Amino acid sequence: MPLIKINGIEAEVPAGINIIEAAKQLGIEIPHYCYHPGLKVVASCRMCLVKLEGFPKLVPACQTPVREAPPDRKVDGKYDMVISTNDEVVKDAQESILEFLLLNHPVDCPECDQAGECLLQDYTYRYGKDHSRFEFDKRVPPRKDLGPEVLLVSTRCILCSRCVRFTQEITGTKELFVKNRGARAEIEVYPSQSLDNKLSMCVTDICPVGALVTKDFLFKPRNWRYQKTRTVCPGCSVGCNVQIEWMEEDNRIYRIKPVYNEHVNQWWACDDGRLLYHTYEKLPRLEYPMIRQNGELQRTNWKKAYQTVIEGLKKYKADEIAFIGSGFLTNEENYLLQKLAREAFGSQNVALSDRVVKEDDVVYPKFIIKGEKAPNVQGATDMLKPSVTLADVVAGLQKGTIKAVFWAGGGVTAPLEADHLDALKKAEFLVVMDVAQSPLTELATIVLAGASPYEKEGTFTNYQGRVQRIRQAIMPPLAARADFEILEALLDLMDVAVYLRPKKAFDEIAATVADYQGMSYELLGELGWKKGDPVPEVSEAQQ
Amino acid sequence: MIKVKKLKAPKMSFWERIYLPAVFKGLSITGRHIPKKKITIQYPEERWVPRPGYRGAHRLNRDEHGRVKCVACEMCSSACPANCIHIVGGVAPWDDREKYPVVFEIDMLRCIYCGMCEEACPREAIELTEVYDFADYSREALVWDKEKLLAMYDLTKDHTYHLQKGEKIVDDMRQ
Ligand code: SF4
Ligand code: SF4
Ligand code: SF4
Ligand code: SF4
Ligand code: FES
Repeated sequence: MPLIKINGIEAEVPAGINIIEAAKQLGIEIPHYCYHPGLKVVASCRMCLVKLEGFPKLVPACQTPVREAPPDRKVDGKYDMVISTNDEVVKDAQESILEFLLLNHPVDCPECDQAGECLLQDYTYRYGKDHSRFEFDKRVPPRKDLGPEVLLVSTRCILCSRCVRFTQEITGTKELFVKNRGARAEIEVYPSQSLDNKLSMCVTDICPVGALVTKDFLFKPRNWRYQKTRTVCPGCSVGCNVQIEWMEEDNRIYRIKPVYNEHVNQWWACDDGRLLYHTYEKLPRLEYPMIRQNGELQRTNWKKAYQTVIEGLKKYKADEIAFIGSGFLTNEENYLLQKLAREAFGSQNVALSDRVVKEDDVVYPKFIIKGEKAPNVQGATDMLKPSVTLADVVAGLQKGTIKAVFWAGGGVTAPLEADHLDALKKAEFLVVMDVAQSPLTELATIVLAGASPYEKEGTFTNYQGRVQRIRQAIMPPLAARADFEILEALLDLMDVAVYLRPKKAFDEIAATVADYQGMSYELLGELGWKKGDPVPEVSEAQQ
Repeated sequence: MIKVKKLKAPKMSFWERIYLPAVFKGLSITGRHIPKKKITIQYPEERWVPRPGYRGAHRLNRDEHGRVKCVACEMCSSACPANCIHIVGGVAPWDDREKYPVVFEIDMLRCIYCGMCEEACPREAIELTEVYDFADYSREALVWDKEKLLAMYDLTKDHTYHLQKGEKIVDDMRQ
């Protein structure tokens, strides 16, 4: 590996990476705008200029790869490259570039949603001048409505062209281009087109300034006011890593943004996934456990609900009860559900609900959005090891061999078909554990109010078999509880096992379910762990 | 071990014990003040006008067209140590700016009149005024909304608030 020296710090870094990345490895920041690790290098903004020993001019760090020097060209006889990012010449260049970028910039930070996470603000603060020498009227290009989700405030654009390259390289949809040249350049959508691909909101993440903003987040409370929770998007079986920004005071989500995971979503996430919290917010949520009395569902308390479930199910023979898991429940919850079926009630009728919205996969050159609109179908299959199908249960209900059903929903599922509902009407005892009112809760004997995927802890397994942790952001509404707590309480009351926390259930999964062997929450960490990847020895990891 | 030292009260002399010299000493101070200039302000007939920089009730300033100057940047509410400013931003109905406050509320009871909001505002839109007489009968009435705060601007913009109210103005009680 080449030996380099940056600002006097020596290090060996892999050949081929650019100087920005090499410096980052050493903890040195090189300011940059047009460079984005997920996009091609164009070296157009010149913010990243650094001094490279032996070169007559400053070089753009984004475009200069680290390489081995021939033996006779090594600096001081040993360094392959000697770089300075804090030399006076470099500082002067950084100041000038920033002054240049700010010539026409409105500096309307007080009105700009990006303020607080804006690279123009940050770099000007760290590397720029404290005043402007520009005395003329600033150019005011128009504000543009680019598409259904994205607005362009052109005055703020610094023409780094990240957005243009995103539509060329990641989605391949090529809606955006740079119109005109020089001082008159502007970002524009092609005539009669609109920025309406399924990843369009990603351009607002990579826009280093507040030029591209989402309509969803426009003028919402300032971005520093939120609590931030890293979790996994429940929108489809890709399982993009996302950050939920929410507020404690009103227990609401305000924004969902992707976070980098090299194995899953890189820097991106689809618009549907980001906006999914609106769907959950609008659901007619179940807020209390309810028991049917004289034909009407009546609010009750959890203790009574648990007792009624257990007493109700105990009246039936083991093979008269069916348990239906869901691709919206976490691995831990599905595991507990099948344990409740198999160990507490001795029933082998464990099925996985196939009520999942199915669309076509959306395939872009560098991103796939899965059509299976549930986050954990893979994991649910692994945990439940379904011994029957939903169709079998429906048939059993029609024939009268199955009389009691424990149904878990857990998210925005596909509506039930008429023949399913007909069959479920025949159930003598129907427990529904779900997030929202539905035709199914209308039939239920007992309704257990569960939590949405934003409201609980656990793990999801995505379509690639990568097991990832989800974390609780907001609280479930009113008396609703995480499904894990409900199942945990039932197992406890049946004297089968006590788990207390999802972590404990996962440890048991790691000990008993093939493919999950040896995993732990520590191992999953931020990036998750793929089933089948060799797990490091436990003793080794602990050392 | 803690060492405890017990102190005894010093013994008082005869004159000290009868207290009379101290009483006359006190009365002589009162007597000296009787012929002097009176500094008590006869509020509300007389009014005290605070010096510039006094931190009284807030106002929201208007620009030259009479529109609210505030752009709902939330700098003031971010700076506010009492957490008493509540702002909801919206798309401005005017061309020369993007954002304006749809809701702007200050809880005057919670405020500690520190002036941080005024300090933080990048648009010079919020200011603390010389108004100190705004007691009210309910907590709700003391959560001031945008209209009330703009009305405060109209009342105080010419610095004549106290002139209009009081018959006699006392500029500074130390004069
Ligand atoms: S809109 Fe943003 S991302 Fe696009 S060129 Fe301008 S500054 Fe760059
Ligand atoms: S691709 Fe799937 S997981 Fe990723 S953000 Fe969209 S819905 Fe969520
Ligand atoms: S004066 Fe201080 S406490 Fe009162 S609103 Fe302003 S910042 Fe908040
Ligand atoms: S700091 Fe000024 S401009 Fe910003 S919200 Fe407060 S009053 Fe309005
Ligand atoms: S980041 Fe290197 S030139 Fe723009």
